Amino acid sequence: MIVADRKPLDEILEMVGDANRILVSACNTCVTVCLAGGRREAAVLASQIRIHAQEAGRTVEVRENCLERHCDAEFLAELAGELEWADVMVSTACGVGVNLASEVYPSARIIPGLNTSFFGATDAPGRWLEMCGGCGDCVLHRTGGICPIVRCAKSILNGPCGGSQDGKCEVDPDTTCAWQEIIDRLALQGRSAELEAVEPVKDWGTSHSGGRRRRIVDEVFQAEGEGEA
Amino acid sequence: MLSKDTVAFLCANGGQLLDAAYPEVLGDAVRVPIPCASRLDVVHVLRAVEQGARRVLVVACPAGNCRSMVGPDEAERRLHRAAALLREAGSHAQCILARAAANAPEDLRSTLAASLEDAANQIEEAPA
Ligand code: SF4
Repeated sequence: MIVADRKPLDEILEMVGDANRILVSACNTCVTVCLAGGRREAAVLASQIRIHAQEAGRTVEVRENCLERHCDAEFLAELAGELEWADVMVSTACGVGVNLASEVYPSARIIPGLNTSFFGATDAPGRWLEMCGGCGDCVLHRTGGICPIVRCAKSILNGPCGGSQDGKCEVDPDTTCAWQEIIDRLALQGRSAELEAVEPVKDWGTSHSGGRRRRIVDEVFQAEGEGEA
Repeated sequence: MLSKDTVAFLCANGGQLLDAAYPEVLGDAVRVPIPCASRLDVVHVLRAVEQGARRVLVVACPAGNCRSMVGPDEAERRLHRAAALLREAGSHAQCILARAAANAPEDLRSTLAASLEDAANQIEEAPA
């Protein structure tokens, strides 16, 4: 899932400026699970904005809603009426949602209420860990399912580096060396010999450094898609 | 004596029974029964302040006395979070957690007295 954090209220208020009609729109998917931008978190933010305005002697109207997903235009259709009313919309969806909503409603002022952080998984209630960097050229088959791109501080593909001590990372001694974990996992699977193979230079052309990426499923896109500039 | 600008969330298994027997302790506070203190949500506290409360009180059971085991601890964590969110929003509303059994009005009285004194001190210390 996509993991995000709520922005500090001050930052959100600065973006909202002197708008009087504010819509806080939540997303019922990833950011609900990571307790950053679901219905409940939107209710908290909306309440904070109202309280802040009261304390400042200002009158603002704040509405809240929650869409099933902000990353599909079909669901964003629900926003049309509310955006006619609102001076500004604070989205508590991830950055994908803010991008798409801004594309669907180009004349609306839509601002991010979250800092979108990473692709992760729930480690314990209230804690999420990054698992994948979305590099577009996955090597997990080689590393026992442990991503060296995000779990190794240096993103080394032929690790470990020389700084690993007692299985801990030299960048942060509280963090287990990802390559130690990879070595242990491959040993567990009886695949230690595979560590001798050298992983060739990675094709970073599939990562985000080459600009916006696309994924197209031909048979669907040709039948229903309208193309993209 | 509490006035209407205090909202008191009362655990149905403790605080609410205490209030029924000793209503003078909470005075004119607005009472909101909840099934257990652990059902308190930060949104409840924020909404109460939004609607004019200057003080939010949660009356939970004493440690080891909770029917749901962890009610008071959960309530305390959420009340702390709510207090932080209120401060972030610029509100000086006071959040108080009282742990008192249904037959122990003195525990509630003493928590309230200490908190009210605290609030008075805070007001005295606040810059003009
Ligand atoms: S190798 Fe790339 S795609 Fe695979 S988990 Fe790591 S970042 Fe994600």
